Parts: sequence; C-alpha cells; structure tokens
Amino acid sequence: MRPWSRAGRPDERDRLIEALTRRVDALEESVQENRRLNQRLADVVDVVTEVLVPAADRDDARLQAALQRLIDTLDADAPTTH
Amino acid sequence: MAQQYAVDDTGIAVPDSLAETVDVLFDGNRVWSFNPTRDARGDRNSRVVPWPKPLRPHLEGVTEAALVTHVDGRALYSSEVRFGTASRRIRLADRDGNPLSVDKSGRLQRTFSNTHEASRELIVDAVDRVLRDLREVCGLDAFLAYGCLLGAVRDGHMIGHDSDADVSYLSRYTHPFDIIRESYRVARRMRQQGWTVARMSGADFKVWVPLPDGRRCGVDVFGAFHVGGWFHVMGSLRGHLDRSVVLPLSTVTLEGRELPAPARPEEFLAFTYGPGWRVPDPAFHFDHSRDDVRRMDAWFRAARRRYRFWHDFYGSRRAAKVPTGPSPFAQWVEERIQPGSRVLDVGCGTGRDAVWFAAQGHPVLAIDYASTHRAIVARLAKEQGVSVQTSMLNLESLRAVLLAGARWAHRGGRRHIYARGLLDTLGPTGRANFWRFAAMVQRRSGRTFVEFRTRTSEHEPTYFHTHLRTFLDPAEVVREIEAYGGRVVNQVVGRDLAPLGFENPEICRLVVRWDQQ
Repeated sequence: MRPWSRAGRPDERDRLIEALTRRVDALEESVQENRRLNQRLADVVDVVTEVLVPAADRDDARLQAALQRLIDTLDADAPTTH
Repeated sequence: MAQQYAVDDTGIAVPDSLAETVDVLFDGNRVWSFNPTRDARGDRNSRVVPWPKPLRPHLEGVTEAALVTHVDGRALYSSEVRFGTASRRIRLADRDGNPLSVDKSGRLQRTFSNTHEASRELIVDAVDRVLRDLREVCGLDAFLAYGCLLGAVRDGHMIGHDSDADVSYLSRYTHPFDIIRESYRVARRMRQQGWTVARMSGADFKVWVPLPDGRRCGVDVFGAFHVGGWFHVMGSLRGHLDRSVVLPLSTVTLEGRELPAPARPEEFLAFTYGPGWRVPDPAFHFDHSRDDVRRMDAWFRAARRRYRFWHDFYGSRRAAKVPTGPSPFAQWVEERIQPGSRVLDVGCGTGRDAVWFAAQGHPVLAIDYASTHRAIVARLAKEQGVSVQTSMLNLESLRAVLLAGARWAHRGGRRHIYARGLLDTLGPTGRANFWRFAAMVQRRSGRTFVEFRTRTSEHEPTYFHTHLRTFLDPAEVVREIEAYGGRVVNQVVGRDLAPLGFENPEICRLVVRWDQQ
C-alpha cells in the first residue's frame, strides 16, 4: 500500500511529511558524502601511482625524486581565491 | 514626483524607472557596476542600491561620483560627493597605482580596461600559449571560454570589465573520479612546461602569467565534461548541451589572434550566460541552482571548506585584533618540551605563538592554509627579530596531508606538533586528516599538543563573534585519536585557560603520543 493512501487524516499526513522530510535530508547528506569520495580516492590514487612505480623498481633515488616532485606542488595546490 | 539620483554613504538612490545596467565612476574611473532590477532595495518611492561590501571600507573622503549607463554611455548623474568626514580624495588603487574596481565575483580587482595596451597584448599571448600547451602537450580539446569567448564573439576584443582570462577543455572522461585525476595530470604537465600553476578545485586550476609591470594575470583552466548525460562546466554550470556544440573545435579572433573555440560558439555562450548573452552587462552574476552548486562542491571543492573565510579574515583589519603576545597554552607547552626542540605550529594564524616559540630558541615551522597568513607571520617575526619558516598545508586535502606527512616522516629528529584553536576550525574530514598527519610525522617520537573550546561553551558570546567554529566534546576527540592509533597522555579541561577579551570559554588541552611503545 502506498504511504499516501494510509495517510487519510491530516495529523497522519503531517507526521508522514515530517518523516519523509527527515529521510530526504538524510539521503541528501549521504549523497553528498558519496560525492566527496571521488576526490579523496583520486588523491590517494594520484599519490600512490606516482610513487609506486619507482618503489616497485626499488629505486630509492627515483622514489625520493617522485616524492619531492609531488611535494613541490603542495604550495601551489593550497587553496587560493579566484 | 519621481525619486531622483543621489549618492551618499548608504548607497545610490535611483528612480523607479531605471532598469539598465549602470557604471559607477569615481574621479573618472569605473569602480563598480550594478543592475538596478536585481540590486536595488526599498519600494518605488525610495529605491536605493546599497554599496557592495568590498567598496565600503574605502568610502571615506571626497570624489567626483558619476553614474553612466553601461551600454550607451548616457550620463545620469555627476556630483562631488563627500563620504564620512575626511576631506582627502578617495583613491581606489593597488600598490602600483593601478585603478581597481569590483569584479563579477565581488572582489576589488584591476580589470582589463585598466590594463595597459602592452599588457593586454601579453595576456592574449599568454592565453594563446596556455591553449597551445593544453592542446599539444597535454592532448586536450581546449578552447576559449567565459569572458574571453564572449569578448571574441561580440567584437573580437577582451571585455574591459573582466579581470581574468578563461579557457576550458572537454574532458574525455565521464566520471568525477577520472576527471579529477585528469586535471591533476594536466596541471603536472603544465608545471613541467614551466608554468606557475595554482589548484582551484579538483577540476580547475589557474595558470599565473607575470606581467611586465610586476603584477600577474590568471588564466583559469576550467574542466568541462558530460556526466550521466548532463553537460557541466566548472564552476557550477550544468545543463543539456550536445557534444557537437563543442567538438570539433572552431576558431574565433581575439585581439587580432586566431584562437580555438567551441564548434558553435553562439550556442555555447547561450548555455553559459543565457539567451541575453549578446547585451554587455558588467553587473552580470551567475544564478546557479543550489543543487548544482552542492553537487559541484561535493565532487570538486570539498578541500576548500571554510577557506574563503580564513583567507579573508587574515587579509582584513580584523586580524589586527588578535593579540601579538604568546597565548597561555604556548607557555604551558614550552614548559613541557625539551629546550631547542623543533615545533610545527599547525594552524598558526597570525603566528603569535610561532614567533614566541622561536624567541625561546625552538626552530619553528608555522603552517596554515590561508596564504594571507604568511605576510603577517613574517612581519611579526621581523619585529621581534626571530626567524620563522612558513608553509601552507590544507588539512581538508587528503593529497596534501599524505605528501606533507610523508615529507616529515622521512626526516629524522624529534618534532612537536602544536595546534591551538585548530580543531575548532576544522570539520570531521579535516580533523581525521590532522590525526593522520600527526600519526605519520610522530610515528617515532614527539608529542602533539592541542587546545580547543569544548561543547559547554557553544552558546556563549565570543570575542570574534562571526568566526566559524566547531565545538567538540573532549571524550569524542579522545576516541578519534585512539582510533587513529594515538594515546592521550595528559588531559586538562577547565576555564581561565584561554581568556580573550570578555570571553572565557571552557577549554580542553590534550597531549598525545603516536609512537608505538
């Protein structure tokens, strides 16, 4: 049975609207949380892939250089205003 | 009788009939433009356009104020006006004397109309070279966008009231994760080409181009992409636009130079600015829907959380209200650390404690994420005759935290982390990243000292009443620290620990170790 057909009386309808509003708010928050994962995952994959290849080669000099190259971007990656 | 034009401290009174965009000139220089239909307040008998926020602090003195219609240059009003009580002439200029005006993002900027002919030539030249590298080195379908495209299609010239140059590219990817990684890769390639690049979000960055007069112009590189059948352009444009409107690229002419453009530029401009795009409007504002902004914020701008607030705070006069002497917490910490041990002051703000630690003989690195802190810390250090290194770290960015953490983890030696009032400014993600950073840096030795306001003080009046703050429960913070592998070795909760003006909040101090014992 659809919720609306159960909600015949005005006070039941109000309760239902309130409950649905709460669920939509919670859903919106979950959607936002999931959207934010894109950048967090990209951050990790970016760092890992840049240092993983020299690490797999056991080439410490290249590993340090790769890390330094990434570190050099830190100031530039700090937020700035348009 | 209909209301006449008038200019005073409160704003600009305009007649009810006025609907056109108006330029406001001070001593002959455009300082702002407004759209009366959108910006005026009050009713038809008393219609006033209030001054925009960035202009207000400058309204002290005398100027010849003029109102001119933007499109056809019709003079509406002109009179010598005195603001406040000062008798000096109002001067809106940067340090080099270049006139400034309020731009479309609501900031006081030098705009192209105030940029010398030679500089404009150099800006177009830079846009050309940036586009060339994006296309030939990075392999992107890059083209002129926003104001640059609009100017080129309208009359072949840059738009006078614009303060930046904009280009875009159509991503070959259709998922935000891939689009972000592509943008990181492209920014890296551009740096290798020698450009100075600043990241603005997960899908747009700025290329800084030095100008001969010592200033620099920003060329913004905005990602454009299709996700789920919808077309998006950074910042927050979203709608339906077929790929064939963008590709294959065509060309347009800007300041006599042929540059790449979307396949059908007129349709692209209508998508960007709406059907009225042909009529010049320096008072134009984007009217993005809340849902579109929220989506783009979560996909690409989560790492900029609260950034604008702190950047503006440290760039404002209010920062001068922060005491310059050491905080009681700094003195408490100094009694507990070894003489000469290294201190990382994370979220150092004005650097009052960083400079004091340095004066006590500790090598100090003062870290913040608002770039405006650097000049303030440097000035304070110079005044007190000590040396303090500064660095930027955005704790909301996992990438930045992993890299900065790795850098310090690789270096030997003991270093303490000092963070007063930092947890109050971070959200849950930033806090989690801070614990991760501390755990990496101090995996062998060192202690983390944090001080924050507790939830008990959440509704008490504060000295800086508009500050964005998170009030935390100490027990919750301790649980978080333990979840990240830390041990709280000392905890103090109480008042009279950090009084500021009339404010005396309940404070929590924690000392944390991250080494494995």
